[in-house]
Amino acid sequence: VTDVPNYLTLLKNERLLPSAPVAVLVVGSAARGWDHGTSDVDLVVVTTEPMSDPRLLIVDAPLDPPVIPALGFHRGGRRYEVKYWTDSQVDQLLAKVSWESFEGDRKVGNRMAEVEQLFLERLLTCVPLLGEPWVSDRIQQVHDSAFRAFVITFELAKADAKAEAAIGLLEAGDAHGAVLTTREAFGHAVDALLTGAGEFGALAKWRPRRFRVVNPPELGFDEYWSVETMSEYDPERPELWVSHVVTLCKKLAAAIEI
Amino acid sequence: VEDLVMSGISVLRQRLAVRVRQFRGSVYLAWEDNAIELSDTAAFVFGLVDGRNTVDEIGRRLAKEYDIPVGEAVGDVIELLTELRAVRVVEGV
Repeated sequence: VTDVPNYLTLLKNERLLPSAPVAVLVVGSAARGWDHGTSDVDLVVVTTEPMSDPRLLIVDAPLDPPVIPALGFHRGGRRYEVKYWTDSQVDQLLAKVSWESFEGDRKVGNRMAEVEQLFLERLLTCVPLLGEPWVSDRIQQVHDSAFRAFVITFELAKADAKAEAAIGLLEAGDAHGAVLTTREAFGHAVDALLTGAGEFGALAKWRPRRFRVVNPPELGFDEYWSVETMSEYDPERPELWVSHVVTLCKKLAAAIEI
Repeated sequence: VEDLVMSGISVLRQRLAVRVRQFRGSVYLAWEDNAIELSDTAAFVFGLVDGRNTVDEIGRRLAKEYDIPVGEAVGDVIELLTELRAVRVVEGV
């Protein structure tokens, strides 16, 4: 992140920075140095009191208060998106991913909205602009929580369900449906694998980069990329590719320590 | 009809409908409405059921891993895989 001071100045100039924020973070691709010319710059502002401004839109979240105010805007040829979390909402979110919660219910989709999961994932790789001690404490709390186990469990359940569906489709003679479903299964299996190694995120566009960061011993990049790009796929024998990839998904699922 | 008599040359594979999970050092299997936790040796054997290894080969590797006679290991493998096949966790190739 090369223009850190400018982000804070930008927020101040736009009257989007409250008087005493707990923390301000750059998150997402800009924080990881993976951004490009058309990337959004994603910012998170943490406050003690809910942010209020007539320009803000709201994202529903199962928290108290039950909304995450957000605003997207363009300045200087780039699009910015700012979300406002309260410190209390972060407490609530961490309570949802406690080990106690995990033992009771391992279905992360039942507990967290997408905006919540994204927040925790991005917190781990953020660049703090303000409130570095708060960020360090929160990151440690995420590492101590069952968040990783929740996400792996969710991704593996998806991978298994898709793999089983692919076989069912194949047996029913729907090879095209089986191929597409197998691709989904593989995506979930690899996401579970990368999450297990601490690389969170479900966007396919970042999967190769995340893969390179981790280089998981269970799957080489060349084999991963071969499946991702379907380089071994034979249109005359789709069942061979489906069977190979479904078996690979199962093998990966068995190798991942929750 | 699948041959129900298992021998050293039998080759089995894990059924794709079986879900495998590792959690806190243990291996769990789940299928249909069933779930079991495998012992360390059962997990070792199950991990070698890949549609290529024969029962004899799995037995030899079990014997080496746990330092037990090969004959005894092969017998244990046959006993375990017979049970797992009966409940549709593994199947013949």
